[in-house]
Amino acid sequence: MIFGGVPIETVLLCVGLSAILNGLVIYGVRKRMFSETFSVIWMAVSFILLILPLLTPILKKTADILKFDSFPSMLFTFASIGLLGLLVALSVQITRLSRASKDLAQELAILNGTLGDKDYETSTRAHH
Amino acid sequence: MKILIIVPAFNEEKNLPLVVEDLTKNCEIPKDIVVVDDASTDSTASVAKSLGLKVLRLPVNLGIGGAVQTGFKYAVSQGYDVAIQFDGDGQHQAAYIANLIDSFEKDRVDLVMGSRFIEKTDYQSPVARRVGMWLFSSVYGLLTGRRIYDTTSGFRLYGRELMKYFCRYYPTDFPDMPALLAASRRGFKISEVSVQMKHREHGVSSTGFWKSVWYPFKTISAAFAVYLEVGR
Repeated sequence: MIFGGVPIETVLLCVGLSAILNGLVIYGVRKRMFSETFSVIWMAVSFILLILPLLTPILKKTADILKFDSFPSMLFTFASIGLLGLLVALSVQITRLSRASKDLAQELAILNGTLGDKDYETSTRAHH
Repeated sequence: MKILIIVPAFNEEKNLPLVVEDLTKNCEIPKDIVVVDDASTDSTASVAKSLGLKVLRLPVNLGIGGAVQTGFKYAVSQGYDVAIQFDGDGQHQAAYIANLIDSFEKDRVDLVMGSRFIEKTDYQSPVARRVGMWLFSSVYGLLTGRRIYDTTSGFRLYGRELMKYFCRYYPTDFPDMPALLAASRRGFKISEVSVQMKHREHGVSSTGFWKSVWYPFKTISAAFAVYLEVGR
């Protein structure tokens, strides 16, 4: 049996794999493994992956319009661009967090050092 | 003029007493000393405290850039006019601090570099290292149109305005040359004075084999990143 030019077994396999990913993402969101932003991103990605195999006729038409050799190569191109975008966003996030933790560590060191002085001054004053 | 000596230290329990002795005996200029302990796993912090020094103990290892920047933040918050970076491994010699201060006052600059290569000194480094230093100096020259002989020297004097800038922005990991480039791009004035340096007496450098392989690539890519980040 063929669905949009793709054997139905392949479509079912893709839907199955996407459903597993969907389940994992929902589990992750429920367990608060992601921040709100990443929960939204991964829920959207897993939902798109779930419905993509069911949209093969539309995908084929779009690939024809955009002059791709085939719709899998179109999907591959868009997926690569999407993943690169996600990597850039993650790099920005990591940099921001590293800077924040560096600043915190420095503030803590300075505060501890300064409080150490105050303790010393207080104890010296008490001795006098 | 309020002077602070910033001593970044990572596992320098054996070198630190020698460094402090050198600073006390060979530099009579009134100064305070702060040791920035970069989360050492040995007793660097307690050795520094037993020597009567102010210690800023970082809870996690930030690398030399993060440690030196901690010193700048402390110096600015405590109202110091000048900070001198003086490594905790015993390579720098306190007798030259006066030369750095002289240049700071006479040349009216923001950053004074202690250079091993302006004049011929006893300091000998391996060929690979010398090639690296030449490369960094060339990249710096290419990007700024100025010549600095020893871009990787950690023996430096910083004026207050530059410290304020470096509190906000200071390259991490391998900051020597990129920090110099950032200062230059922001229009801070830089001078270089000749100094002698020694080799460390105890322990090994925190820059291991793989780090030293990675070092030139990282420094040069960081320099280009700084060039793009820091506008004139």
